[in-house]
This record gives sequence, C-alpha cells and structure tokens, in this order.
Amino acid sequence: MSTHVKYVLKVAPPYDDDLVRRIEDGFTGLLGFKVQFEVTEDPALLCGFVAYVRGVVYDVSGKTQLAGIQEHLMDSMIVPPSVIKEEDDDS
Amino acid sequence: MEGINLIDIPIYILNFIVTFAMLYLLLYKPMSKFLQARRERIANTVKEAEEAQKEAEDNLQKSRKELAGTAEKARELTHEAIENAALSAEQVLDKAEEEAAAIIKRTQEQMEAKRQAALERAYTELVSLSGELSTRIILREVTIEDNRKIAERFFSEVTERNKEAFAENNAEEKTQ
Repeated sequence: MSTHVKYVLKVAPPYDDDLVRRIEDGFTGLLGFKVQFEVTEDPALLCGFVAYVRGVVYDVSGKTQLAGIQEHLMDSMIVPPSVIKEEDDDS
Repeated sequence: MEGINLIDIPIYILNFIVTFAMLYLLLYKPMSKFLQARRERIANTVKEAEEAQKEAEDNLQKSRKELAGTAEKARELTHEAIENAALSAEQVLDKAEEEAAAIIKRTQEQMEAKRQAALERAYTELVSLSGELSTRIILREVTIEDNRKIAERFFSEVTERNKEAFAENNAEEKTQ
C-alpha cells in the first residue's frame, strides 16, 4: 500500500501514462518531494493540464492561456471605441 | 503941444470895446467852437480807439479761450480716438482669440473623430483577428504530442526561472 499523498491533475485529452509520469517527475524534481497524481480528464481545458499540489494551482491549460490573452487584449486597447466614448461622456 | 485929448479917450475906449466885441464874436467864439468840436472829435476818436482796443482784447481773449477749448477738445478727441482704437484692438484680439479657439476646437473634434474611426477600425480588425485565431486554435485537433510539449515547456521555463532566482539570491547575499 502506497503512503504517498496523491494530488489532483486535470489533463486535456488525449493523454497517456507516459505524459502523466513526465508531469509527476517534473513536479517531483521541481518541488523536491515525491509527487503522484490522481488524474482526471477535462476536455474543457482544450490542451495542457492543471495540477493542484499542496494548495498551489499550476495551470498550464489552453483554456487559461486563451483567457489570459483575452484579458490582456481587453486591458490594453481592445475595448470598443464606443465604450471609450461613453466613458469620456460620463466623466 | 501935443497931449492926450480927453475927448478921444472915450472914443478909443469905445473903439477898443467894439473891436473886442467884434473879435470875440467873429474870432473867439468860432475858434472856441471849432476847438471844442475838435476836442470832442479827438475824445470820440480816443474813445473809439479805446473801445476798439477793448474789443480787440476781448476778441483776443475770446480767441484764446476758443483756442484753449479747441486744444482741450482736440485732446479729448485724441484720447477718445486712442480709447476707441484700443477698444477696437481689444475687440479684434477677442475675435481673433475666439476664431483661434473655434479652429482649435474644430481641429480637435476632427482629430477625435479620426482617432475614433482609427480605433473602430483597429478594434474591428483585432476582434476579427483574435476571433479567427481562437477558432483556429479550438478547431485544431490537440494531440498527445501537443500536451507533452506543453508540459516540457512548462517545466523547462519553471526550472530556468528557479535557476535565475537562485542566482539572484546568491548575488544579493554576496553583496550583503
């Protein structure tokens, strides 16, 4: 019986055991302790994975990447000019 | 012997009186009258001269007053002209400023309209582009290899960042 705690790993399909092992090895080397995952398939991630280790979320999913791009665009200049004009009028 | 004849004395006296009377009547009176008339004429002439002089002085005084009044009026007119010119200049300046402000406002409005149009175009193009990119990303089939590459890149980047952070910490410790 294994004494290791299993952390949660959500992976976008398709994936295989080799990929899961690579992710486990990567986190083990990164964090300095043995990391094993309980894997869940999540198509909503589009691609990549999300790992939950000791309360820290490592999100490398395509969904989050797209959301980040969208947020970046919205924060920079991709706001409809009509919205900008309305804001100016309100001030 | 010749001597004074007493009978002739009254005759002489009478003769003298008659001569005196005739002289008085014929010479003294007209002469006196003439002299009186001449005196009066001279007096009148003097009086007229004095009046003329007085009138001339009055006229001179009046002319001086008029001249002074004219000079004062000229000064007032000049002052008024200067004030009017200043007022006109101020009005011209105000009008020029208003026109300049109107031009600036119109230019700013045109620039703002162009900026808005440019933003609209940029927004439309970028929304279109981002939509196209998202569609391509989503519609593309994800492979195991894609997920593997994502994992490799993640660990590679994190490892690289850890090394950099470690190096920075060492450098700070050395400087301290």
